[in-house]
Amino acid sequence: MEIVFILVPLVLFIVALGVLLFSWAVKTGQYDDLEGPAHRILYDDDKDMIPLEARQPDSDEEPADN
Amino acid sequence: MTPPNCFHCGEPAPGEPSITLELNNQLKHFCCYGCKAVCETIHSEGLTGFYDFRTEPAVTPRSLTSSELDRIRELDHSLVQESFVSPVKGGQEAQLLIGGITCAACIWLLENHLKKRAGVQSFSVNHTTQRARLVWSQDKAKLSDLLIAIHELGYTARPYQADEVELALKKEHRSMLIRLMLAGVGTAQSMMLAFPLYFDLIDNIGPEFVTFFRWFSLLVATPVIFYSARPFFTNAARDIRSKHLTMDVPVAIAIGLAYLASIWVTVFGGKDVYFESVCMFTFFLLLGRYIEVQARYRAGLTGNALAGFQPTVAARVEGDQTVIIPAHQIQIDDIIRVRPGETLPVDGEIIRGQSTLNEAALTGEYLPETRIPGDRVHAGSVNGENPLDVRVIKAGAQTRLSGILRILDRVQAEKPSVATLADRMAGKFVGRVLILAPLVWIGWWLAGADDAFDITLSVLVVTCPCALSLATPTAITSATVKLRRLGFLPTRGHTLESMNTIDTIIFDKTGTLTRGELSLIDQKAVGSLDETACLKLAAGLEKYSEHPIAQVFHSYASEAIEYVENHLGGGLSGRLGEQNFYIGHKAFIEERLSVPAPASAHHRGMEIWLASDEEWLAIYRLDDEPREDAALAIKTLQAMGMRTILLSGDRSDHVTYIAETLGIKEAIGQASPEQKLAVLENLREEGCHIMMVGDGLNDLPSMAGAGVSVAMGRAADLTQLKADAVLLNGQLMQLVEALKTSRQTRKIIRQNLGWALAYNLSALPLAAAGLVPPWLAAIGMSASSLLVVLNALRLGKAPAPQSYKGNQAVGLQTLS
Repeated sequence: MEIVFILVPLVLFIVALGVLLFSWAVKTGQYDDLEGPAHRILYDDDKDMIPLEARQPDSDEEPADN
Repeated sequence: MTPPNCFHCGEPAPGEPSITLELNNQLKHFCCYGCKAVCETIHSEGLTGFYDFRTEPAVTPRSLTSSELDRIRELDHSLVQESFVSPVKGGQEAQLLIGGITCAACIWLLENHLKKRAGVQSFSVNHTTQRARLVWSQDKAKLSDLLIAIHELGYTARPYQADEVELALKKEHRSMLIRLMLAGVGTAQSMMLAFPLYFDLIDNIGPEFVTFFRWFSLLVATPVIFYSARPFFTNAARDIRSKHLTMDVPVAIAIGLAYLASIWVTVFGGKDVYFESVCMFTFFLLLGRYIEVQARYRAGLTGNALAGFQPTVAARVEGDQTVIIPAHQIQIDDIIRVRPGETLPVDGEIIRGQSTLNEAALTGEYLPETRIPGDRVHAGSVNGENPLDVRVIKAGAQTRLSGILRILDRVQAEKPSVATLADRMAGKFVGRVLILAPLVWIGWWLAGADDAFDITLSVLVVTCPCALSLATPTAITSATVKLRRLGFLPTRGHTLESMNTIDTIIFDKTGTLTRGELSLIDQKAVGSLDETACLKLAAGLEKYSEHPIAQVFHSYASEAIEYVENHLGGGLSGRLGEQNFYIGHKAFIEERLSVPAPASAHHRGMEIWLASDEEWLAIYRLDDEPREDAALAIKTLQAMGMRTILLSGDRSDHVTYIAETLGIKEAIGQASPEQKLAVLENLREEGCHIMMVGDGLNDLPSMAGAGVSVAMGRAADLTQLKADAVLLNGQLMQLVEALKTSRQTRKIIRQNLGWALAYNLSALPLAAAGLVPPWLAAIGMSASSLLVVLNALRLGKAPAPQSYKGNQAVGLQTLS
């Protein structure tokens, strides 16, 4: 059980890091928009990053022209 | 057969010949060339994914008129940019407010569209607030070009500058989130540490573990108390100083005492510590506060609320040219030039030019009035077609608009703060417990008990007003969340409670009961052309005007008419092929046509005629129509026993007409903001509890005077900021739902308070008698709090949000 004397402070240290990280994230505005990113992840706007040989032949989308 | 819907905006696309575009071997129909152009732009940039991703049809785009272009070009002026552009590393950063965003795909489209422009370093749109941040390098691109690029896709962009109120709200919102998170983490950690203490797991290991766990619990709880719970302490201190006991006082005392007592036990030894209870209590309370702050933040997102009404710069006429100066430097007797579409910064007198002015901000009248040299004009009015030179009579704080805002401030300052039910109970209850606790301690100490301190602690913990103080906020939180899903956003803590007592509802007319814009209610072809052809001609002519009448026609397919001329206060003329066409008031056309006008029956609303050189072609009737659900909402409210009153600054006959259509018996028209307030005060003296629903700046003073004020979602920003609640989607039926929920909320609050009081009162004597060990007190306290929270959650069970829109997402493709 003596391991607790090390584990508990360790946990608290990690938790403290987490809290600091979270407040940094909030302060840099990452929590200002809670809806946008949830949608953004679903947009497969990376079609032009798929290697040519891996593309589906029946894709109805032309590769972006940029 | 129904005409196909526009591929881009979902409006019917009846065009003949139809406007089409071939996309990926599929023929798409469009309602107008604007939509087609946007779709082509999207396609040529390889962003067609937009049509797959979107969940709502896009807005119908509108091409910019030359005066709008001029206004956008003006944004390149460094003096104008001062307010919303700031230099950042490697470029300039502008804050913009984007209009026309219907779903998340719009944001994706905009961001990708702009990132392809030269000079744009980054562009991001906030989905919640529709604010955008644009970073660009000034030497590679002009700001106006980038804004025009946004308009190209059918969205609008205007600069905005966060004012102090918004910055403060944003800071509060963020710090609240951190507080909440810290309290949550603290609760989890201290619970984990308390677990072995509660269940005697440590008895067979040794007392050094107890001490160890307690010290670490103390370590965890300390930041929660000093950071997360700080708002409670500062509020309590403020309330004590102002000798006004609110719920914050017992909360602060409970948190403070439990924390101090636990420290005492930790340091000097004793039976139990309550760090985890303190953390959990803080967390639950903060959750309610956070949701309130969030609601206020959303409603307070107004940019500079007055920006639309009080321009920051003005063009001063000096000899033959104009110089742009900051608005606050305008002096009396200066001559300033107001271009079409601009807002007047001052009260003054027209000395040159003739135009129509939209004075909705001051009077609530939605149709612009014609103003000629010699007329008085007021700050906040929007200029229509022609440039005006205005001699300044009053500027800055002396204007009529500032006057209205001063009344608002006065009324708001005089309004007594609403004492909530919980606050009233808090005062009584806390006082008694605070007297009782020391008595118990002295009693047991005199009786020679060793554990006098433990018993006193039990008394304090048992009577901890947790359940009592959670009773109201939890119910309000859960009701708020439910109502927000329905589109009714309470922005003040007291809104829901105050709504219980409402027995009179006052509605503004324009923009509240009606849509606040003209719509085509009837059309009839009287000449040789059929209705569709006439409508296309009309739309082709009106495309060149920004007048509200013209805007009715903007959404229809149009003919490419040339040489369009705007005849002020009359109508428009233009040429198609060999023929001249006219649209406008009857008198205007009679002047130009030798044929007498066909007879037309008297009808409400406004008549607009279309004619060619030889004949009268069609008549259009326009009116400001009531909202779809207005009649139903009024009927339901009246069935609930509400007295409904229509109070408008608008002309009386239309007010009476709307009142009759909707079944409102009391209607007052042509009321100035001051008169509106007077009506309201009279009613209040009669003992009515008033809810005021409005949307304009002219409603503001009376809204401030009402018990509960509700602003429409499209209301002026300042109106939304000052209102107690915002009706986000403009569905009046949600008022009914909100009133019902408010009654339900009161019921739940009563149940909660009843339970909390019963628990506290029955536990108190037991604890004072020393029959409740502290650990049982802690469990009882947590259980009673939990029960209150669970009871409140019942409120959140919302009926499925009803949609009064028939409009479904049209452009959605079935793409797997």
